[in-house]
Amino acid sequence: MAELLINLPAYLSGHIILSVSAILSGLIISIPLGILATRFSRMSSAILGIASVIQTIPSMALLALMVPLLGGVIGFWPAFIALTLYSVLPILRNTVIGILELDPSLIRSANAMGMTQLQRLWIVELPLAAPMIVGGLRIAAVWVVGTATLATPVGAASLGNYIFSGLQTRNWASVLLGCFLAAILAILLDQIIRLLEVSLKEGRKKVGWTAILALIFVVLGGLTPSFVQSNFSYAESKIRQDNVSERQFSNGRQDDLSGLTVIVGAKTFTEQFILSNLIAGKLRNAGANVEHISNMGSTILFDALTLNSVDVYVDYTGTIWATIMEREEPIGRMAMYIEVAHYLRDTYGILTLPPLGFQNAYSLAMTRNRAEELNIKSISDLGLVTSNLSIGGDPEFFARQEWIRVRDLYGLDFLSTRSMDSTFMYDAVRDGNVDLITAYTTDGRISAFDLVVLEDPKAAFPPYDAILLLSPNAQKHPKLVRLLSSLSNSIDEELMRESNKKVDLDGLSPSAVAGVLIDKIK
Amino acid sequence: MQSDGPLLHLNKVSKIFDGRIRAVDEVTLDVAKGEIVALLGESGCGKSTTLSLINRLIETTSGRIELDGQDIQGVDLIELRRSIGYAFQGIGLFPHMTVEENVGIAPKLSHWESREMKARVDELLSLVHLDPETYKSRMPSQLSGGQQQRVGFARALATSPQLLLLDEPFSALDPITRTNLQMELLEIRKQLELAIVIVTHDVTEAFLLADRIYILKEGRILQSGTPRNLVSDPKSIYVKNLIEMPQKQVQKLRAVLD
Repeated sequence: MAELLINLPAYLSGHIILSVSAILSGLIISIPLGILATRFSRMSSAILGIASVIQTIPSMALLALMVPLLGGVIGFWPAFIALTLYSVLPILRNTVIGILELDPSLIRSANAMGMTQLQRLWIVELPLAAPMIVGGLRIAAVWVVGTATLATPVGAASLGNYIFSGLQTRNWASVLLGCFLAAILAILLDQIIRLLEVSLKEGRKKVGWTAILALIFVVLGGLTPSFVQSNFSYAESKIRQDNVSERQFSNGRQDDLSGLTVIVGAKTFTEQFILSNLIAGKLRNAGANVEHISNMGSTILFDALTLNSVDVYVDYTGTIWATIMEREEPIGRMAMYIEVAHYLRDTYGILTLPPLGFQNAYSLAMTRNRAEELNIKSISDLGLVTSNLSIGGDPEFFARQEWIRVRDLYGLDFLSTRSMDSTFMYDAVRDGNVDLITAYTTDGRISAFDLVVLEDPKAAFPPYDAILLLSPNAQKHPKLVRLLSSLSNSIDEELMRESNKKVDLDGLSPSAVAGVLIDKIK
Repeated sequence: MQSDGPLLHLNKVSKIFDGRIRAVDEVTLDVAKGEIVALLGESGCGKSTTLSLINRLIETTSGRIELDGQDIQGVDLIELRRSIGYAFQGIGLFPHMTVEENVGIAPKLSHWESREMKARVDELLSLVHLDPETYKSRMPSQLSGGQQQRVGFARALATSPQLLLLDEPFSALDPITRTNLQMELLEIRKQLELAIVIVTHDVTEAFLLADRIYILKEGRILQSGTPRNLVSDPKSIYVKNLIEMPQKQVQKLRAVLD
């Protein structure tokens, strides 16, 4: 728990800054738009229509879409823009309704006494529609604070980091903490805005000032850690994209990286957390300044690397092969590494360091009992089974080329697929909820749950050697490249599986396990 | 009546809605300074529309309206409306403002000084028989219907207009309040040099208040004149029936009571 709280200032302040700025800019956009809509009835249906369409886009997708739309920028901006769009509809709708539903006799008397359009707006329409508009603001605030927890995969720090990493490492205290704090924040903002609403409705100025004061406190509370902390990884990383190349080197030890800021990325699962902590630890030991962005979507992370928004992260040859190079037929381990390295260098200017030494390959696994019961040893045997079999996997997997290839090669169409978070699929197969899962070969639960990995005689699954990828800027620093190259061939599958198990099953933190790992591979 | 011409003059004014509905049809009328003129007719006869043309809440389709000898199309719309008082059945007091703020809003828009404005509000509230100290800081929702319309009158008179337009101002009030307010309106007119155009469907009200009456039907003026003229010389059956309505009602009432 204490370890969780270390990150609290950064996550909470990231969440507050992100939410409040999105809500405020939503307000600034929606009110003029709403007023325009009330003035021109033809525009009104178009404006409300567009806002409604935006609202129907699933929030996770809207957030992820912002990254390519912004040309690969990760962190604060894509999250900010997506959340701003999200906050527009409720405020806009209430502004339009608030103004259009005013008693027509008020508009008549305002006009008859010679008010200009602007005077009518300021003196009559806006004050009277204000409670309604603030009502919309309340809805927007609750939505945005809730949705901001989904900003984690696009690289913006928020309370969602607790939830995402907690789900991956089976740290339920972390998940609950994230949910609890986000809920508290939503309730707090909602109540503050409710005070505003009351003060506007009943003309109680004191209440209104109290609300504004409370809001300022919340925002200040959000800003404080960023003044205190020198490195705030939750802020936009785009600005720093050139940091690595501009850094001055001090003349010190041979691997001295002091003065260099390196941004280390990680995808959304335990092994990635451990390895990114391992890399971060190595870099820090060498004196570098490290920023750590974890829980990023796989392709978002790759795009960020090509744009120098992230300097280094661990990917897998098979993943690059299928999703970036869009190749289907797998080849041998070494051959694939070489092709991947060449391709990434030539196409993106990315440096691929020699493999870390282990594969985190996809495989199909089932419990030993079930496998013996059905007499299954390899994937080919599945076709001989007459009873209905179900397979669980993470949602990404069933859309991947790898799966399509395995399915077609072995004729696995008959399997009923069930998408589930990868955290739960091991439990699901152990408890008999599914017959098979798409296990990762380095997952500690394979041995802990006594699962068997089915043989792949047709070599349908491509190799998945773990490789370190360096951004175009990062590879310009020989000392950095040399230091990270020292990790090559230092971790085998056994060691990785054991490390993963310590986090997933023994409840240790990824950073603690990474610390142990650093000592082991010295 | 006066040597320097009428205050308000409508010359063959028409209003056509949607290119086909002829709501006001070549209406010509005059209002002298200090005169009360009633536009009388049943619902839909175009009397309210005619009134709205005068402060350009609705724009005329054809014809000419002159205020103080000036074509109102040539006057800035905002200036025109600020120079004409307007009160109507819906009253339209701003619910988020006190009585004082409601009455003071027109002077405020014309950038009066605040002391001057406060004095004016007190004066106007007294004029409409509302004690300033008691009512100034009340919200409209804390007033009865009659009190609200009194505030409505005070607001309409705030910038001392020469012309006051009243669109069925008493229709929503109970008979006792209505009668009181009608009497007070006559009193107010005596105190201020004020011309009034009042739209009403109530024959008694028109006879009671107006110096002259224009009777409208289907957008046209059927007949105009002083109440006495109209009674002594109705030019059509319609006019005759209309102005005899109150008497007939009294007779009916007698018959019931006897």
